[in-house]
Amino acid sequence: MIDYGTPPASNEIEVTLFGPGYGEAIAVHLGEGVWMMVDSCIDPDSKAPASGTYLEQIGIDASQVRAIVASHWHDDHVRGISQLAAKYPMADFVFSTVLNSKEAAAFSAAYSGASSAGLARGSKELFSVVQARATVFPAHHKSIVLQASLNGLPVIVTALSPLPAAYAQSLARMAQYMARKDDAINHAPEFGPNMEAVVLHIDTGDDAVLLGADLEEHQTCGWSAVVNDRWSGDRRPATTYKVAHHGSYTGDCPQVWTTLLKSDPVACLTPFTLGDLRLPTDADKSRVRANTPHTYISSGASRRPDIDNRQLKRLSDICKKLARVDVRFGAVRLRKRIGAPSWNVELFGAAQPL
Amino acid sequence: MNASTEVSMNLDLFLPVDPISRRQGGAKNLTPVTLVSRTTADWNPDLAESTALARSGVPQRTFAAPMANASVLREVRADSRPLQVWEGTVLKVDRAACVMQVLLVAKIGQMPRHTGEIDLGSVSPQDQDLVRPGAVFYLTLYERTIPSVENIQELRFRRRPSWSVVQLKQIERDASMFLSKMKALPNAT
Repeated sequence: MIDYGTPPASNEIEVTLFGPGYGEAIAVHLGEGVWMMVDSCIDPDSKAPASGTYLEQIGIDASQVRAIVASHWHDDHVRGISQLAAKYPMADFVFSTVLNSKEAAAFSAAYSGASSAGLARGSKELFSVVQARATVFPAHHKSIVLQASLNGLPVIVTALSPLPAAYAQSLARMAQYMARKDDAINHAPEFGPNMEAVVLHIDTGDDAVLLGADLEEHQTCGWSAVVNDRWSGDRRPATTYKVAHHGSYTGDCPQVWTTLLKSDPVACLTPFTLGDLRLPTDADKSRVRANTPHTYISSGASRRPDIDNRQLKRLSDICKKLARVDVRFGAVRLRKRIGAPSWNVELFGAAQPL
Repeated sequence: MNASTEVSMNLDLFLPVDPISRRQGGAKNLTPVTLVSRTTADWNPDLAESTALARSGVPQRTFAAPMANASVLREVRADSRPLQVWEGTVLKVDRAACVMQVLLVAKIGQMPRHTGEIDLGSVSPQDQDLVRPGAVFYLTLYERTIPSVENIQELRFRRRPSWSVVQLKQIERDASMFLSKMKALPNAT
């Protein structure tokens, strides 16, 4: 079990990124004891949501968590989020507005509801939260997700995405998979590129943080559209960036680094390993490092199979290229006192500089 | 006309024994052969030179390579003991390379999740239409030690029925509930 030490000071902003190799979660201290959780992944030691385990360990009371945001419904971002929502019942639950339509509700109900449990684990998590809650909050471009204060200065969390064009695009995609009588029941597809993700901008009064979620590059629905939007461009440039889409080139838009970020920001990201897709690739790492030398990854551990020899031999007869999904778990913690010139970076578990 | 193509074939593809359920130690002394495929014109002298297509020498039909035989239950006996059951989910299917990327979760004991690549030839013909991203299968590793050591594997896809009227009504109710919980956030200026 990782020892995370003490909680942040009241006048300290904190962004902690957790990642076990497949999965991502973020805990944000907005100052004066106000916390926000973004996405969820499982801590392999506690078998519980990583950010919840973290807050418990550093002694944060459940009432201090004011919002839980599910940036999108992919399995690697929402594992355990229904447990997190149950643990923090006072926190507002926020997710992408692309699920706020008749089509999306029918899609979500079909693939996650009572009639089809197990078809899509990711959307099932969100569906469970909606079932348990009295209200949930869909976020879109310009939504104010949370407001707090730090040393008398307002702290505002706003959503830069999804954009209206992405909303329309997602509806069209979901409509294709609506359940119809006598159609075979198949599994919910994961749409790509990801244009529905909620990107968050946190303005702390004297600085800003950008959490890029898994938003991918697209001229009208993705990053290019976000950076070219006047309102987004007017946001305070951030000195910390949770790199979008695990550092993948599909989530890369050079203008993000020049428009929404200050030069040489502190960047952090989680890896993504599933099937033959392993992010970030070496090229991705080089590209991110070229934008800033201060980049950290939550887990850089080996993916060698972890199966006893007898079973491994048997399984390898049929299944080639075996690789472990959940490699060693790690966390990148960034803290900064209000008015301080730079962020203090701490690495836990398998986290390391990129 | 006598256009012909020499194709080197691996005889493993035509083995009568299933590659998944192959008994351990089954030695194969097979000699590689060369198959010669020709246009239909070669096989029917009456057709030769009779059409422009035949004269062109271009094969008029192509055939997909035959799939290898896949798992057969006859190998799994009452006294076979399951060593592990992996629940698999298809992540991606590459028909050109004849492989599927899969996510494997162990159903017996505590084992981390793994990903891997399985040859589509390992999927039984009756399950081939089920192979698509998101599909769920069960890969069971059996072992049998008496009277001799035998390792047997079984790969079975989970079949799902069609949407029923009852389910569609439930979806409507769930969707209404889902939408009724939405509350708008304030907008920034």
